[in-house]
Amino acid sequence: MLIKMPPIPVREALHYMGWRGTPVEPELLEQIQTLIDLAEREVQPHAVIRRFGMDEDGCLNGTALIPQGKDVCRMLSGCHEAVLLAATLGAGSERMLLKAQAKSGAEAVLLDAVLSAAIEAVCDAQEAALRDSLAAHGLYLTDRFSPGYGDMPLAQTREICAVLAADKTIGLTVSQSGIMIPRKSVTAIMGVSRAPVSRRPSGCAACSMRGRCALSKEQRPSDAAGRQGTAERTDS
Amino acid sequence: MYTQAITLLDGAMGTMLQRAGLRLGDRPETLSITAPDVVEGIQRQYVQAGSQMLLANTFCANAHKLAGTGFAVEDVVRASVAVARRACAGTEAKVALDIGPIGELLEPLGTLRFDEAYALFAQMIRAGAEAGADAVFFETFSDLNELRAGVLAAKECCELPVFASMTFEQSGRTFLGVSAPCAAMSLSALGVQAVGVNCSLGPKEVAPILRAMRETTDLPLILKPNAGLPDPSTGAYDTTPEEFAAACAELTDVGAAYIGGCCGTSPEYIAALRRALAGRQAAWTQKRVHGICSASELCAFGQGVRVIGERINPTGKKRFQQALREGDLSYIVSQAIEQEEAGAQILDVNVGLPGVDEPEMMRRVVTAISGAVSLPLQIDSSNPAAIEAGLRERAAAGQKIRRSHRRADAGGKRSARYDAGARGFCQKDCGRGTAGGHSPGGYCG
Repeated sequence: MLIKMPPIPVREALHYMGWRGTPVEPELLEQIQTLIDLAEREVQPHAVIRRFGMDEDGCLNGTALIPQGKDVCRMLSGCHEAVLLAATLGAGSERMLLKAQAKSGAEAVLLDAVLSAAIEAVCDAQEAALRDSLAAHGLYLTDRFSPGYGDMPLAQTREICAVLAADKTIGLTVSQSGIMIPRKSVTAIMGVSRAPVSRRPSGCAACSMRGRCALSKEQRPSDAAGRQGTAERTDS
Repeated sequence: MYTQAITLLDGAMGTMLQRAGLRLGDRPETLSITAPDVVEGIQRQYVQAGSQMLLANTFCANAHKLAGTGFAVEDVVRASVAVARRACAGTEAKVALDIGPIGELLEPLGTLRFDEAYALFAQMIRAGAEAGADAVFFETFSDLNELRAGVLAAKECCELPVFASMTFEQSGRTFLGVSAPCAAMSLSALGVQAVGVNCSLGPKEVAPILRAMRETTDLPLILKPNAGLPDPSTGAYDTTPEEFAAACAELTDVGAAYIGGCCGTSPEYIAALRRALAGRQAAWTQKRVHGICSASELCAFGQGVRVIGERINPTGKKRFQQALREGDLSYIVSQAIEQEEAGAQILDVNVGLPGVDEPEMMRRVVTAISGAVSLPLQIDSSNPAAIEAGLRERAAAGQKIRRSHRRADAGGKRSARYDAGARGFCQKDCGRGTAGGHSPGGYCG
């Protein structure tokens, strides 16, 4: 299903460039903002989201999919339903990257980070919308958990895409080597519970990549505003 | 004015099998071996409802999608065609080999090479022809280049009639940005029996897309919509068999001649179609638009001057020559982007340089450019192999042939195979004058 492109936070784009809170030149911020405006205008994201009951083995009803790994199973314990999400920025985003790579390596790096922030913004919006609609029925939603997080095998990306028929429903494919194409895509699983669930049950502190992860939220500055030389757009 | 009797196709198999217990993500094609009676039962219901052409249960029976199932392509195809044949027993109904997308994106957006895609399709087609299929039916494609690989494999590996259908979003474009008029123009050029639209949308939403296809093709059209649009939370489709059939019947006036149903349909929908189409035939007028196209952009002729960018050419350009020698595709693509941004409507591509493998470079350059730029391309060469390399893997392009008229003949034959328009330019010394165009605007066909 085609969905509206939500706003892309500048801070998230900077995070995907490896920003650790150092001052950012106004010219660079302007360049990033131009690319954000381009992405918000041109990108056509698609997403598919489906709910499934689960049997005692954790198998999603009507499928052969059993989420693997202690981390995701811990997240789903106490949940009576699982939700599968697949989202992509689409082939147009892939073309944007090819175009940027041909014109300027520097612009391609910035655009890559902007588009990474964009697909996360799409997933955040889908998750938030589902959380609200479940809350209206007295139900609770866990955070989303993707293959490759913790000890959930990356290979389950292909299974999630097969169950959702992602190539047919949103144009999302998986290459022979397991890479999702278009590259700015996400698959994830969430749990639905009748009781409140703790968000991010483990977080960075208990993640197997702790200390080695370039994108660890533990290393993110909480607020860089006010630092000398920083010109930062206020995200709406 | 063209007319043709209507052929009733079948309806959904996947959603019917899911109702019978098939799990999401499992391969329905393997049921032709493990539970053939279930498949045959569904297909016999379609024949009894009026289907005149069954699509064999082979939609995902390519080697990549069958990997890990323990079943070989040839065995699945053979079993599926046999099952469909049994379901048709005692009737005149035909069996088509059903071919869907491989499930991976082609270069340059993805990692699958055109020749790999061709080989995967050829494997299915040879098995299908050997098993006695009456036709090859491609459906649910979003990538025109992938579909072209399949159609070329069918035309080159068997003698069966070929049908080609794509799936579109409500915007009128596929996930890959392919437009209906471009799809129709390009596929018609490859000699298919019919082109059309299936899946994703119901008949009302498909109608404007089918009408857009009619603008650029004289072929009969395929119409195989879903049973309306699905409810996002329940998955149930919103169109009744009678509503479906009535909406489809209206499109016989634009030449829909091969009509069936896709996801969410059932034998009831086919029976309703038979009733609604009784006494009707498909009728349509000649196409209105002539021109050339890429997968997503059409350049129509007869509407004034068309601007061709000719800077992708090594003649007198040291930097460009260096890029060709070094295989620096980024520089070459950047030249294409600049010309597109400056307003070119067609891009000339010439990569002929001593010491460069021209056919392979043409293939690589055309592939790379088409990933970043959507303009139709004009393949500029006097080397027939390079011309073919440029025309084969991409949606129908224009072709400019330089040098002697003798070489232009060889190039002309190649262009005719892909039905690309051709312009010929003769050297002064060939004795035939300084320029030879074939028609106003310089393109023939």
